[in-house]
Amino acid sequence: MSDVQLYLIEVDKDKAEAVRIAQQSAQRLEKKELKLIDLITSLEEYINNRDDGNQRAKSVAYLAEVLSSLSPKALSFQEKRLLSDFILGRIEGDLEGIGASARALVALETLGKWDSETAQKVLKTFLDHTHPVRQFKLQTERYAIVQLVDLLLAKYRDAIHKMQEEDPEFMPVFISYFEGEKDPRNLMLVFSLLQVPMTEWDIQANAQDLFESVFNYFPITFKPPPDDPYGITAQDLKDRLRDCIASNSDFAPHAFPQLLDKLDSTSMNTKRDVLQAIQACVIGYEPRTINLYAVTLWDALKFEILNVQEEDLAVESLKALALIAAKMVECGENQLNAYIRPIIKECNEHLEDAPTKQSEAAGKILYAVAASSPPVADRITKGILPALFALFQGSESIVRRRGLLEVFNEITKAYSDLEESFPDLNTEALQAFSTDALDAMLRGFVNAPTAEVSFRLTSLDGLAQLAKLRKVLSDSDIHRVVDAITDVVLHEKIKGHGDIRSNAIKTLTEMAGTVPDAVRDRALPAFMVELPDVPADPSACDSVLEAFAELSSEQRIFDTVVLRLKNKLNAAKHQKAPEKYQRSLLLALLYTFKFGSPRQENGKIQSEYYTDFAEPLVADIRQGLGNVAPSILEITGRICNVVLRSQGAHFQATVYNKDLEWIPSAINASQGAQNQAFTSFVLYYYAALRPEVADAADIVSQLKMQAAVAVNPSAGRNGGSLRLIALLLNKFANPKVMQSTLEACSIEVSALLSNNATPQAINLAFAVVKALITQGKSGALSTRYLDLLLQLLANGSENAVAQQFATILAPDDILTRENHCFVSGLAKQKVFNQAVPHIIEAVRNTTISSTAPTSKSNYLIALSGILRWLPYSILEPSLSSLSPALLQTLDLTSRADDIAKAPTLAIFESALMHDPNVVQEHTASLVTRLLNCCASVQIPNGAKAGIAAANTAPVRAKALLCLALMPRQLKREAVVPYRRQVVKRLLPCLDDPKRAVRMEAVRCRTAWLGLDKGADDEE
Amino acid sequence: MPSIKALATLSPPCTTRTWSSTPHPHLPIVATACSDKTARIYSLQNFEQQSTISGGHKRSVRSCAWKPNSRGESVLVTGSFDASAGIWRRWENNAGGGGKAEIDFTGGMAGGEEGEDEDEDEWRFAVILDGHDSEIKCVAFAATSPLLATCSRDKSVWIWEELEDDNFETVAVLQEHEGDVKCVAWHPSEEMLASGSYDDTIRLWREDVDDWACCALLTGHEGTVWWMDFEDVNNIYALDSDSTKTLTETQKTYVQGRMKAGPRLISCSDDMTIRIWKRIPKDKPEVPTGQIKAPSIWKNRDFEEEWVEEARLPQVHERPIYTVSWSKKTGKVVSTGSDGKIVVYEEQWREAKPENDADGDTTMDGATPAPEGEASTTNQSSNQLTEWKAVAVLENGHDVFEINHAVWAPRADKDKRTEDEEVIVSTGDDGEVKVWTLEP
Amino acid sequence: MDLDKDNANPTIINPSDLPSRRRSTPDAKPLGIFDALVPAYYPVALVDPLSSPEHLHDASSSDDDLDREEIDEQEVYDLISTISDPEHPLSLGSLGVVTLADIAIIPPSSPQSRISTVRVLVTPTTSACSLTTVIGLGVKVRLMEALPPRFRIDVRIKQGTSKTADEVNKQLGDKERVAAAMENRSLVSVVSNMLATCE
Repeated sequence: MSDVQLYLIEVDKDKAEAVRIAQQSAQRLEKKELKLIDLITSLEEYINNRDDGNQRAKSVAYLAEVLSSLSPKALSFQEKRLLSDFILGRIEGDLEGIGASARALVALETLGKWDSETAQKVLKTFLDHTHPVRQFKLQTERYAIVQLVDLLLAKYRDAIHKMQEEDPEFMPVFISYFEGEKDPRNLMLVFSLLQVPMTEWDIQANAQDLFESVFNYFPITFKPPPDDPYGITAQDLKDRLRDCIASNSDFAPHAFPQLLDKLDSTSMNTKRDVLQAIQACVIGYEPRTINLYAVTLWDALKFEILNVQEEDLAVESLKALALIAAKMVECGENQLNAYIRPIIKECNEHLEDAPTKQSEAAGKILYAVAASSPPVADRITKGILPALFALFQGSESIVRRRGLLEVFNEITKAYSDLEESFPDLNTEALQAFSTDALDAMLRGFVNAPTAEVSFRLTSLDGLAQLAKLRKVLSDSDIHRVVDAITDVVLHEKIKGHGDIRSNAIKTLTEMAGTVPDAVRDRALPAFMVELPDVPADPSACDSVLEAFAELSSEQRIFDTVVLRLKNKLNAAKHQKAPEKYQRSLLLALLYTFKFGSPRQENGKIQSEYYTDFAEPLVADIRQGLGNVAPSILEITGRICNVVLRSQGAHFQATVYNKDLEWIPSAINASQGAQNQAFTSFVLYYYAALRPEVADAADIVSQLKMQAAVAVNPSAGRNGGSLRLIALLLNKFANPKVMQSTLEACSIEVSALLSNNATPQAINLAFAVVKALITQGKSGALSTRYLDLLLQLLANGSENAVAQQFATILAPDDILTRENHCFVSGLAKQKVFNQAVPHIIEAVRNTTISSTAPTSKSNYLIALSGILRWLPYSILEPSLSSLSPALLQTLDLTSRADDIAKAPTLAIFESALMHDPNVVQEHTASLVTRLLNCCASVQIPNGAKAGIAAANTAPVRAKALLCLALMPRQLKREAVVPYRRQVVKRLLPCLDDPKRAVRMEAVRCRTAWLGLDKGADDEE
Repeated sequence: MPSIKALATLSPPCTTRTWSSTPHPHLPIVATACSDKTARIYSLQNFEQQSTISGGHKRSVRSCAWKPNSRGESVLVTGSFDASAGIWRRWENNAGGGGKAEIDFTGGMAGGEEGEDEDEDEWRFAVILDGHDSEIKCVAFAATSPLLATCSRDKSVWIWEELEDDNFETVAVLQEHEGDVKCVAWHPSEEMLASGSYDDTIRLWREDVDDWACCALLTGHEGTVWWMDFEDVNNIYALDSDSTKTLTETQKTYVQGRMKAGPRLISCSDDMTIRIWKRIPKDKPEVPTGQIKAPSIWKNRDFEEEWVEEARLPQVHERPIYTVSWSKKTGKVVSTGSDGKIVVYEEQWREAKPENDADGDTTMDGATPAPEGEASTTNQSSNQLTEWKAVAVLENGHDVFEINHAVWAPRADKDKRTEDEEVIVSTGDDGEVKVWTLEP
Repeated sequence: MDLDKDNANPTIINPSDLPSRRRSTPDAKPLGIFDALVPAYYPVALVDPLSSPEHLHDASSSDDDLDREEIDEQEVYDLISTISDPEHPLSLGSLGVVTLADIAIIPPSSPQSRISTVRVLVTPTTSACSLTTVIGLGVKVRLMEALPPRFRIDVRIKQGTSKTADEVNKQLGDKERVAAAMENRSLVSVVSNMLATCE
């Protein structure tokens, strides 16, 4: 049997097999085992089978398959020519297998480029003898044709273009060729291939038809089928279609009227498409074309902005207006004026009754248009400002004046936008009014009644804008602005409504960026005046200091700010200013380094800052040893930490080795409170060091010292030591020899916990375990230790121990990666896996009435202490096994146990959000418990409710929040039975002593009442 | 000074607002109209719920009324915001014995939906009366004839006649009010209906020839008239109590005058006043043939009647007054309203005799209009012989909630002290119905 | 329901001029930016186990219910100012329909009584506003749902701002009508749309 026969048999049964057969024939052709001529003859009987069109089609398909799997060399030029003639010949007589024919031709073309005659011939044949949509139902067949035409237009433009130029009849046929195509995949191609004539040819004669042929599809309302193999979205089609519409200025007479007509549509989506199309046209069409429609467009678009329906429609319209303006600039003086004039007129009218929605809109319009290019801005300014300031002077109403200034600010905003791209922007038009504006706004900002917040803020905003522009304000003017703002920051002490100080500070900081010199020369000195070396009342200076520190967020004045602070601090020290004041100054420094923008070099704070600022502070401590105030020590430590920790090992080493001379001995020497204070300095200092920098001996001796302090009952508050121990272990101790290290420093946990351990020992144990678990390098050891801690819970010890579990995973500003500590990403998961099952088990087996009455609550407290720090994702899988314990946690009554409730409620919150179905089965018990948790006093009625002790405000609020989620997240039928009871029991919460809780109560009750709404006929 | 003492709270309470509780004419039960679309029957013996009537109405049940003298079978009418009135029947076995108390085992958890199916057999839905365009506000059965009155926000009052077996026929639709008709009340001994309205007026209606029409318009209230009640036919108890002998001449004439005039009407209003209205007899008084027959004299006199405000009760309430109830046994009046107060008033002879010893009539036809406005003074009465006193005041009767209804009812629990001791039954926004005793 | 706009272009009050809790009653000492710097010692629990580790609480640890934050005019304002006007997509607050000045809380008349009154005067956007009643109803319903029952709620139209003021006031004052209105589907949906914007 010949391949053809085989193919014909297989093709319907097994497409893949059929293809393989075709490919096989192709190979044989390549290997010359089969002559092309034989293959054709073998085809003949089928390809000409008069009575079976289907078979004819399939045999062509076979041919196509063969050709498409041939390599270029396989056929000679003549053979190819022969083949293409053969195929085209067929088409004239027989349309069966047209798709295959097209594929065959495409295949041929890839085997060897055509000359223009062939190309023309191919296209002509198809245009003359076929009309896809009318003739071929199968979109795949049409697709093949479209692909072919697309290829012709892509590779043989000139040839095809010639056809168009020579034959006036060509275009009409060509345009109508794809008429009525509906298939998205085909349309995608049609749209793109049509762009060739649209953009490259002179189609004036056929403009309308060509336009209509695509605009018929506007607006695209295509919804891709769920299982669309080609993944074509409506957006793809919209984009292509838009490109077509915008491709040729000759379309304008047809495009704009029809688009504007569709703009009146009631469908928001249509409006969106129209606006996008208009924008595209404005960009695509010739300036002189746009010129013809500019005003018409303005008249239509303004409504979308002045009477907003949907915000985004307004925004799109504004874009369009701006684009038009930009185009008009290219047209020249008069055209531009013709476009701008009506805009100015309209906007001026709306200014009359500012502030209104319209006047706001006018402001937006002016901004959008003005920002499009300098000359436009210039005209807008000249057109609007005279009227604007006339109105301003003419009106006494502050509200009116505010409305006007808002519009003015829009215009200046346009200028400052333009300045980004036009450094030497011409601002004369604006300058002409700069004095009016400046006076108006300065007066507004300085003299307006302080209750007129919005007016003052608008002025403030305007002043900053104005000052930001180059060449608009003289230096002296800018100074006036800076002075005015600084004055508010420093001297305005309004509490409550009218307090705009924070805005003033923010603005001043921004201006530090835009006009640094003015701020440096005017503002900073003014600040210093308010900061005496020895203030009578230090706390009075705090607000000034805070504002001052905030300025440091602007790099350009950072150095000046910190330097002034440093000098002030020194002055304060020498003159023995109150400690509180010195502390504030230190905090200010700390703030600047932490949140300001110090100069950096390759990603880290410049080391000079350490030498210039931190080192002297450390030196002071060293001299003043023993009598430096604790607060000073601690903050100094933190300043060192911030500046030192990012420094390289070498730099750190030099610093550290110098300090080794005195720090260890200093700790040794210090006693009690002083010791802890000093420890807090050391803590932050060591936190900054890189592991490799530290000296092993030093670390060990440090550990021993601190351990001694930690276990000493009379040492009092020793949190510093515990944190330091945790730090040293985590960062410097070698995991491999951890246990021996611990033993050496006598902080080995099992030893610490062995028979009746003191509270101090237990705390120390927790600190050690925290260090190891965070480090995550001594798995076995920390697992064993954690177990020991869990055992403490069994013998109903006082719940202080239970509460400690919260500390194991608690976030910690010392054990962080920034501090070069080892922070294992798995720590939380590990603790969860080990501790939680154990606890749940214990909870299940201990009843309140058991030997150790408190032990159950201890387990629950420990549990919540651990869970509270876990991301929901970790506990989500075990949610259902956790739920019973969690619910019991909500039953805890003693005030001390209350800390367990808040985190538990937080978990229920997440659960309600992410896994309502899990919560659903507990609906009844959860409702009751939540209701108990939101009671601020004993609940009189209700069975178990009686036990509900007063809950803390956060707990009550959280409980209400969860309760509010239930009607939203759970199935209606699950919650409806409780709605009346809940709504009633929530009444007392509406009278909760705390405002925040009442707010939650209102939300919650509304949610439950919502169940009733509209459902009045149920029952 | 007497005091109002809590006796019981009927249980279980409704989880939403309750509007009113109507005592049964002879059984120790009340029917409570609830906004959860049900009516609940509570026992006044054990203070527990007997049954729930539900499923009949799509919206709040606003008021209930019992058909009088219907021995052997209780007939209840429920008026609802769904614009319809329902008639319900139940055989009287040991009704009110309260043997079977339907306690809601869900502890009120499941609100009104639960317990619907219970007692299905007990209460039979008889017929639904449609016709009003909007919410029915009040329903009332006539004492003297098989007539039922309903009134509605549609400004109309409908009078229905019950022909045999649940066949109700509309005999009149009275539409002269200019606002919602809030309440209707039947004269205890005559075929006369009173209606109070959102238009601040009260209208009295009677059958003229064979057409119902308004026979009197009572104006004076400066706010919605929320409730009205007629006093008992034998309306002198308050005054002649065992002291009839000692009555002075003027007092005797006054008593006769009142006998002749027949029961007075009391009304309460959004204007925070309670007013007593009396009929002005038309003829020169001929010797009354006896108080009981007295009313019959008025038949077939010409139709119009003259009613005047006789007295205004001391103003104790600080917010709108929703109901006032006139004890048929003691003549005491109880009122309640938005301010959550329950107030009991009593009519007494004036201590001091008035200066001009004119007889009752002249003072009355002088029709000195009751002085408007000024509150607090214990007596605004136009007749100088009696005065009303507030004898007991209770604050926060239903915690901080508004009280929608308070009514006198015969005491029925085991601790009742005298045969005809009465209790006050109050109904509030908190969904609770409370029972109070008046301690001497 | 489509609403004929009585006032298509009302004046809108700038948000920063609206009264707010933060602006009207500042904390004794507003938290300075430095306070954030003072370290949050997590392990005070570690330090001495006896100190109740309240600080482990998120948010406000100082929870002394004894100092009660009374319900005041501002709080009432916050409850109703966010209701949206049925006519404009704007809040009653920003339209000046409700203002802080027109909210009064009247304490109990006598020591025995525990009933206070909240009076809210509503200013319709125009004297002809056809929706005055609906707006009033929205305000009333919101407060009935959000305030504890010890408050009686009187919502009235501000004197001389609306032709129909008296009529509307009487309706809003009529408990029975309001109750019935809240059982009426279409009204409920209008109102709940207005209240949808309340937080």
